[in-house]
Amino acid sequence: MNIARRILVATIGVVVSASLHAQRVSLHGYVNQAYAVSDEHPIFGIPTDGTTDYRDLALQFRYDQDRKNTFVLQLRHQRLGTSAATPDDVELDWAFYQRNVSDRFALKLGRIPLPLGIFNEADGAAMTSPFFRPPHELYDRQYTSKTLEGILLSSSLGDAAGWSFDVDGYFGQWALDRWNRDLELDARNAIGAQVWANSPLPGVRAGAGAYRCDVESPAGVPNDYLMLHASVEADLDRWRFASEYLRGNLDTYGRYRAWYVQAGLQVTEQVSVHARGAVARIETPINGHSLDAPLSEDLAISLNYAIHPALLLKLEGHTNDGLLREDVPRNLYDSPSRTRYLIASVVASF
Amino acid sequence: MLRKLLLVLALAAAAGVSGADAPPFLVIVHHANPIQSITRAELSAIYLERLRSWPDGNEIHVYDQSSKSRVRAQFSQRIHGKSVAYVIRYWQRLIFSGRGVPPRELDSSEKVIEAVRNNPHAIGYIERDRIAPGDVKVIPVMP
Repeated sequence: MNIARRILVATIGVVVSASLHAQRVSLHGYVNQAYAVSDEHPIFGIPTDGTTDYRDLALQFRYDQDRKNTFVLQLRHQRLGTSAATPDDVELDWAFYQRNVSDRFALKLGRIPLPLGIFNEADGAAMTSPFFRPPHELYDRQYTSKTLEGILLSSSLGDAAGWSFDVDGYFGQWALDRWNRDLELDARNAIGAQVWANSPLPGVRAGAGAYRCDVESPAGVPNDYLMLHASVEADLDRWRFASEYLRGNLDTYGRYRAWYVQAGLQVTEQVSVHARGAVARIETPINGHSLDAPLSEDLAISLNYAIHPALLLKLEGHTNDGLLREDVPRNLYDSPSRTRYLIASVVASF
Repeated sequence: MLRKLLLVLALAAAAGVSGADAPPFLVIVHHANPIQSITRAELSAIYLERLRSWPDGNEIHVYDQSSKSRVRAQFSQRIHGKSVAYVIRYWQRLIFSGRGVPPRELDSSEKVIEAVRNNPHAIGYIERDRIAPGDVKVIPVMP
């Protein structure tokens, strides 16, 4: 934490001094405030009696010193109701330096958004997702991370009119959540890559990636995680479609699999409807045999209303069958239970 | 009046279009910019920050119009083949991935002309009926 605070103070210093060159400084942010309520069980921090203590805010400072050098800092405040996974105060989300070696090649150093699939870097920011959050099943922070502390190399290949490819490679570390949420696990020596193929049809792309890392365990012997992921996305303006798959070999912890399909239709200029089905399963060795537990099956629909291009209302209903209820300790032998929850949110960005 | 009409016709000819296919905007660069034309795909790539340098290696300085303006909607449909809402989503994803920031928005064609006039590496677009002064250059958009 001390290191994070020092980076924060140093970067704020850079940004403040940079304000002398205001045309090179850009400030962006979003406010995502929700009311959420669940029925049978609390889930994702949503209590059965409802809460408005459900929000996600971010403020981003970007200083483009010149064409080659950029500094980016993002502060984030997140509250997810009764969930113990979110802190009360403002956290340093990112702080990184970017060196643009050329138009096609860049290097980032520091605390960086981790390139993993469609939604990982932006998470639920602003208008990037038609739901309050991207599918938890795929972006579960017990298996993946939003950020990387390390180095990221990015390259863009191809031409403006045809196919193009965005390639990322990275090395570093991050912290994972644990099931009981009272302790973080560190993932170290992470090395990975991701490739996006952008088709000549704007908005249509496919990607794949992989990473491996050493995850510490309470027993002291690190587990070797190997994660593979694949994505396809088509934003055709009126129609929007996204689907992703994640498969993780968790060493002695077993195997994790998650996938989802999401589709949306822009009904009018302001109104859109979306549906999503997401599944997560964990296969773990217990007492000499393998247990395939249905962690989560989440079906959701969402109605979006854009008051303004930068102001959006979302109303979404979910039915979740699985083991993610938060009023009982998680037990993979339990039968899955059904929880319905509703989130009404307003998001504004600038 | 006649001179103005001739100027409008000359600009239409320079834009390489006529009649019903004429886009309701003109693409402008600094008078000293040697570029003679631009393709629709290149223009789209410039405004989505996938193309960042002029052929001579200089950085492209991009000026956009307000997201609420009619000319921005027309430009988005003609050049990107997408709505302004799509382009805003595109930029929001880049902003909140730490990968980039959108072009600077100016709230009138006059301000775009002024910005391009004062910047040899700039590009912008204006409403077709705003006649560009002589010190900016109108370039045709090729298919």
